[in-house]
Amino acid sequence: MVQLLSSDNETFTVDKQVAERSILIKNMLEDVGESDAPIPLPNVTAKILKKVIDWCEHHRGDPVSQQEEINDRKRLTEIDEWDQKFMEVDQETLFEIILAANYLDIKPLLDIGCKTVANMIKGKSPEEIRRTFNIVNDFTPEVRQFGIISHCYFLAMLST
Amino acid sequence: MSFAILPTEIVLMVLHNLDTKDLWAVERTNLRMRALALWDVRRRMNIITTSWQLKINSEMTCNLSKGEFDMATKSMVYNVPQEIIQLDQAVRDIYCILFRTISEQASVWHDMARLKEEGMLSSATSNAGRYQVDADVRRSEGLCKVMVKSIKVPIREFRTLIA
Repeated sequence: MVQLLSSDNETFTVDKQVAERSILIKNMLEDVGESDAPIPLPNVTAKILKKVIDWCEHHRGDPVSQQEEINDRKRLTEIDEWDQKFMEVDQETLFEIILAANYLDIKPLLDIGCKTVANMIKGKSPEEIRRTFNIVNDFTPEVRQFGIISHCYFLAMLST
Repeated sequence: MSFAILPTEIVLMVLHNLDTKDLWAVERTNLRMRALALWDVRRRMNIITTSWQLKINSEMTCNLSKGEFDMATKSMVYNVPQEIIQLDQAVRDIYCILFRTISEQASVWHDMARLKEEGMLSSATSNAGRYQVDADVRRSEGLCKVMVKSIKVPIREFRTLIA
């Protein structure tokens, strides 16, 4: 068993096999060797670490290399049913899971997070994307005007 | 909570998962997203190995360079080998024809442009406004020497290739 310490000082005890879904933790365990001391994860809160551990436990048996091959073959934004449910969280949590997956170096989880965000963008207009992700429109009026003209031209070209 | 908290490499991973039409929608949201979306367009364009070729007044065929994506004009810029094409007779009109070979037997004609001469330098926008040619044309003693420097093809021309 391995102990993980979140940024808000909560300790989680998990199977070594589960913890090693994270390449960061796997490398740390190899570097440090056998130790009872908890591994500090200063960039991950307890709330998010619990979610990440849940994901790692569900996917503990997935062979890493095969997972990557499967991901390559799949349609870009296709996500397993279980993972889809797992990612049904508020946007703040979703972004924090993505950041944690990036920090902990869990590529399959990072891929699923990015695909989930991509699915939230699909089929939306720029204004809808701005609203969904709280993106500030910082285009100057001139740039905006040019953008509208070029977009109309682009649509006209598509219809020819 | 906003997209702004996601670092560049993660936003690029998200964009990587989008179809091109959705990428263009992202491109129109704000300045940072525009830069990142165009970065991803450039990546997509580098994957496409479209080999364009050029003929001047049906003379020898030039193979164009691999092409660089120009984010400012949203165009692919192809350099032309620095060869002077000497036309046999003093010609009135100079035509540049852009095409790509799809097999040993077949090629696809893309568009044609007539060079408009302004002093030594000439430039042309093709008949359908699809690409722009920059060239140097010199006339002397009944001969016409043409050196095409680059060709700029707008990104929309590749919509069927990167859709």
